[in-house]
Amino acid sequence: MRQLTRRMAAEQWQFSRPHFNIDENGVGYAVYTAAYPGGKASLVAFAHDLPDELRSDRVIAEQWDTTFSLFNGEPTAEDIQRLQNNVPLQEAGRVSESELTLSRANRSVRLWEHVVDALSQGNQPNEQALHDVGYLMRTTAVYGSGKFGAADREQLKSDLSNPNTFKAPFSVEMLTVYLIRTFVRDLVNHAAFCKGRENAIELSPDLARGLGIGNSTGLGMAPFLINHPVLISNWISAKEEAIARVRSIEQVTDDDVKSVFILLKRMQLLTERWQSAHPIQQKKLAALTNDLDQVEQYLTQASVNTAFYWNELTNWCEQHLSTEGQECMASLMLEPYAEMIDGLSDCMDDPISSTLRIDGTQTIETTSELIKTSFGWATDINWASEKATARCWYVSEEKLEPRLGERYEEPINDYEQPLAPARDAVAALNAMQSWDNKKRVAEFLVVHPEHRRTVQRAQWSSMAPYGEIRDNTIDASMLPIDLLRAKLSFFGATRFDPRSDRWVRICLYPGAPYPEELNTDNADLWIYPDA
Amino acid sequence: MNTSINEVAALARKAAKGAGYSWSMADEVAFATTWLCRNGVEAASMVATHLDQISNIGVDALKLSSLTFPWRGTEKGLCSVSAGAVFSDLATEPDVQSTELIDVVSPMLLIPFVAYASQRLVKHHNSLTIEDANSNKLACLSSVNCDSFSANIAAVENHAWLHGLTRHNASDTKSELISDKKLSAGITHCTMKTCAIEALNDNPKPARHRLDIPSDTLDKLNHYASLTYAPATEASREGAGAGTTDND
Repeated sequence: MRQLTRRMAAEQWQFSRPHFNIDENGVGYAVYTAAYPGGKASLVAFAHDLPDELRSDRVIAEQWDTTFSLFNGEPTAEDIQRLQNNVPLQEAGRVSESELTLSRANRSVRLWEHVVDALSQGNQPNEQALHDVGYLMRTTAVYGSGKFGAADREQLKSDLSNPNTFKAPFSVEMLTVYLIRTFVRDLVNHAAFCKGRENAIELSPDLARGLGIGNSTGLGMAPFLINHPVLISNWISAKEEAIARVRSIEQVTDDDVKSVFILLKRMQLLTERWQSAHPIQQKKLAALTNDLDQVEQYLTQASVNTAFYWNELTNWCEQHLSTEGQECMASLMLEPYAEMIDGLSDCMDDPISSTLRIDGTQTIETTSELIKTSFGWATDINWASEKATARCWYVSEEKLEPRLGERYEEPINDYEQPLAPARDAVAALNAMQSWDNKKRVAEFLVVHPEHRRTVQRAQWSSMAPYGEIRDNTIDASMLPIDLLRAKLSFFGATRFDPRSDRWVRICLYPGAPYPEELNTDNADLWIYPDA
Repeated sequence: MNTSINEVAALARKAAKGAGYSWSMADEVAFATTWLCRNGVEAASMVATHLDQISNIGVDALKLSSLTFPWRGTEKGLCSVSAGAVFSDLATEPDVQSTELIDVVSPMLLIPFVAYASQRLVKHHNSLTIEDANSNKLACLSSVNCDSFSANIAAVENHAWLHGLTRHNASDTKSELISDKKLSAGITHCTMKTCAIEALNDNPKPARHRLDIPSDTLDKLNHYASLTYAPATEASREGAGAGTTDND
């Protein structure tokens, strides 16, 4: 998100709202256009009148309060009509190569009604209520990269008029959500006006800015992490490199430390507003709150003249803080050094894994060593035990969505998706044992083509060291929410709130400037709330 | 139906698994599908036909049996994806640079693997041909315009010149040598071998991003893909998501 807002501000993107045709009942469409150097993209938004009983946060829902598509360019009346016939149907409709994403969102009924009521009567809504929920609508899917007929990433990247605009992974999805947030603010003002007419007022800019867009995410995101090891490794490598650069600064300045201290105070506020009903997350939040208090004391006492100040802090965090606190500080200490690290965002794409196929001339010995580097730990697991293989990833016939089931309790084993790389790696190592390890791995693969994935991943791992999850993704105790959080954190999502062990809510863009207020001064650190 | 190439590849992958391939080999089917589609070949129908054969004959009966030349499967034939994958694994090895194949099923699906191999041979200044038993060239794949071995697939797609397989090359005289009919139907004998790089086409086409899939092909691929979906149960419904309403 911050990569996008920085880019939009630096390149002075121009935003407009060519259409806002929403009726008294909140039904209609609107178009929001973002003009960037070399092109335009437009959010085409449809608002519906959805009865409460049809509002579901699950990906399998069939109707929504609002539905969206990001159009490549500016849509004509014919385009809007075509989208009107398809976008509200979501998965059951078709979009075309002119569309970049497909999405939908539902109201937070509780907050929506409160805000409309208050504004329609000429009052601003209760600030605490806004903080408690964090958003007026939450999306349940933002589909991109060629799904349901949309343009795929390769098409997007081949568009020479803007080779870099959408090069960053998920940038069209992030732009979609940014524009949805603007639409939702306008829609709530419209609803309040329709209800209160001359008594109604608009949501104040300060309150509006604090609102993000929620997102409900389930298991669908987890396979992505496993299926894109090089991409994920590039994301983590960028973060690790940034941390390493900052830790290697020998002498910091007063201003550097002061700016982190200010952000720490803002982070404390974010933590205070971050609520979860999930016991595991509650525990983590309590630990984080305590951690941040400890860091505050540390920063107050430590001398700025300490050599390798941030390295010292990191070492101290490792000894004194929970994982939540350590990770938080690993991010906060990067903030003063934009010039040193922002360029790393260009390394977060994966242009090579689709081009690099198996090198069959590698010896079995070398391949098995590579497998062990990522999965040596997995050879200690008793894979014959039911606990180690209790879970099974599959796709349901009913709604074609990824699900996680109990292998020994449900009839799903025959439909397993290949999402257990650790188990598969150990199976490949076992199969290799009876082979002369000086032979070429291609010879092994002629007999065992079923291990091609494992061999491919092992060879990728030599250039993508962070690509493999060092844990058993089918263990009885595996928590999918941890997988989801890993991916969402790279989007910049905040307020991670598990709703079960496989379903989370998060918030995108709370605090971000709206298009009309976006500039280079406010494009970056908005993620930390201001008191 | 007009689809993105990503969408076709994802469908081909699931369909390949449904038809009997392992997930590993289904990845190879998806690779071949993507490559052909990006080069303007309507590969979805070829894949659907191929999967019929895989489903009828069985994956194991068509699998490459060993690296002993000539390469063959069983008396039922040799799967082009199985042979192609191994060929690309060993592309730089001198011993496979003239590889004879016997009774190839769906030989069109060899092309992407041979194209990849030709890319790896660029540094040796070679391209690859597929010839029939009478030394007629069925296809010639060359990637001379790629700067280096690490050039990405987009570059290969732009510059690996695929002759006789797509209509846009019909005016090229050399394409007369090539029979796409033979490649589509299955061939009894062919050889993949290196040759000196020939600049066959000075105007390579840009990669394609869309494909129109005939509805019968779509039905067939969806049918095979559906064999990978688990029938819904009460337990699976409960497992999807946190709740049934979103009214808070």
